[in-house]
Amino acid sequence: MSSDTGKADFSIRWKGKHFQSNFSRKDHWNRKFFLLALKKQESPLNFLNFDLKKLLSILFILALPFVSINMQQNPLSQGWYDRPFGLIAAFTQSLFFSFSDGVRGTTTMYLNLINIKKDNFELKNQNQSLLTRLEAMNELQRENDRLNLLLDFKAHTKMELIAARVMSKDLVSDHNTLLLNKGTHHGLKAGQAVITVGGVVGYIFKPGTMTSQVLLITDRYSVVDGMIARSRARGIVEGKNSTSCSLRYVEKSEDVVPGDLVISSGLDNIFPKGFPVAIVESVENKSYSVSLKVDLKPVVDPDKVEEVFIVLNAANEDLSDRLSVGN
Amino acid sequence: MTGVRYNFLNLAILLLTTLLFSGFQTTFWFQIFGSLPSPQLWLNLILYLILFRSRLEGIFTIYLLGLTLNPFTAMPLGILWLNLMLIFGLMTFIKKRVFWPTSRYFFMASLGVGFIYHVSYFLISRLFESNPAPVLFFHRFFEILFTALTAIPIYTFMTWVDRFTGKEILPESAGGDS
Repeated sequence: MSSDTGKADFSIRWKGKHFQSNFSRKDHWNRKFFLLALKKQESPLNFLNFDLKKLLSILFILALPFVSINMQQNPLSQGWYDRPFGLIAAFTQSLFFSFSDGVRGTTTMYLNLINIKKDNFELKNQNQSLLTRLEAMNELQRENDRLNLLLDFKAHTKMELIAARVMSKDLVSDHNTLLLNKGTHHGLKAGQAVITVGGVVGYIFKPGTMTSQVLLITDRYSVVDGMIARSRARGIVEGKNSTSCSLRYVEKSEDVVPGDLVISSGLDNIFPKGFPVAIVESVENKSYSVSLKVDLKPVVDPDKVEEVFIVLNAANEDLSDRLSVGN
Repeated sequence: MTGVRYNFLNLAILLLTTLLFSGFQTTFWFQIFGSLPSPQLWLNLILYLILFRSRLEGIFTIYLLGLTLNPFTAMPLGILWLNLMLIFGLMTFIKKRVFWPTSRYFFMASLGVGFIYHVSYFLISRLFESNPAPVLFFHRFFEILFTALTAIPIYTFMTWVDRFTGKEILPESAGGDS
């Protein structure tokens, strides 16, 4: 086809030359074929009409998997080209593994924490309950021991005794009294001795119908006839304050030293004879005084007394031999 | 109910409260805290009567309270009454000069009445007893402190009782509480 052929309503420039055709200007496909025909004129050797570049590209793309398959004939061996990718992949996977491991770990930890909190709460409750029970058991054990001691004491004495529990103490701190859960209804009378297994506590002061007030030997109003177990020096045990008392009217010539045990004399037949009352703490021999000044510490701590005996009848019992061993 | 009945109800509540307070102090406190100084709750009731009752009614009620308190202690009734009357006289003297009906005043007065009680008892004991009361400084100090700490709740309770029973409030004690 040349530029001067017939009536042309379509023209194109191809590699510096001007071509004309009578195809309609709007006919797109005709125009394409026209261009293809021009290209064929330019490449007269490619008689099979192939685009060599495209063909080579396709062959190369198709050949890659075959080459790859061929190079991986031994699946156990890793090619040199594969290593960097493998390393990167491994690194990436490691990262993700670490991340997912962390997420899983945190989630598990959180879930465990919830469970631990729940378990902890239950265990705490259980522990508290067991501790309470243990304490109750210990308290029962202690009470049992005390009561056994009281029973044993009661069984081995000829005195007529009645047991009572301590309910309360005095309203004001200037007096030392205790309230017992036994009264005149149980045979109690004013002046009866109140003792424990350890020693003298006091005596009944205000007996009520169902309760009785005990004046402790530490009360200022309390007086008990006593004597030194070792030297048999006599005196009157008088209360001083909540923790101490004094032995009064002891002649200066008497032998009294700190550590001596003061026992009940039994003269009043209220307390059994020879029952421990207090320990001598200090002795003062003042020149202007007619008697010794003897300070005592009660053998029974009134604050720790829980159960006591009231002596209904002392029956002239003499405990001196049994209790003066320690002196 | 008439005014007399209201007054009786008020007195009955007061006596019951005295019994409960004394029981709490001598039994509950003793069983729980042992020999730890206890707050003298009854002393705050005495103080309330001194501050918020007429003189005659105050004296009568305090004597009655003395009788109620006596079974709880070895202190002779005469000494107890004498002590309470001394407190009454001194607190009335102070009340006539300084008084404002608030819980803060009641708290301070409670500190004062605690101090007066211990000093007056100590002096009475020196005067009338052959074996007088020991000093027991720290024990008394903590008693005064604990008593004052219970003053405000007791004041609140007693003002409520007075309102509940329609008790006539003295003119000088009328006024808002803080």
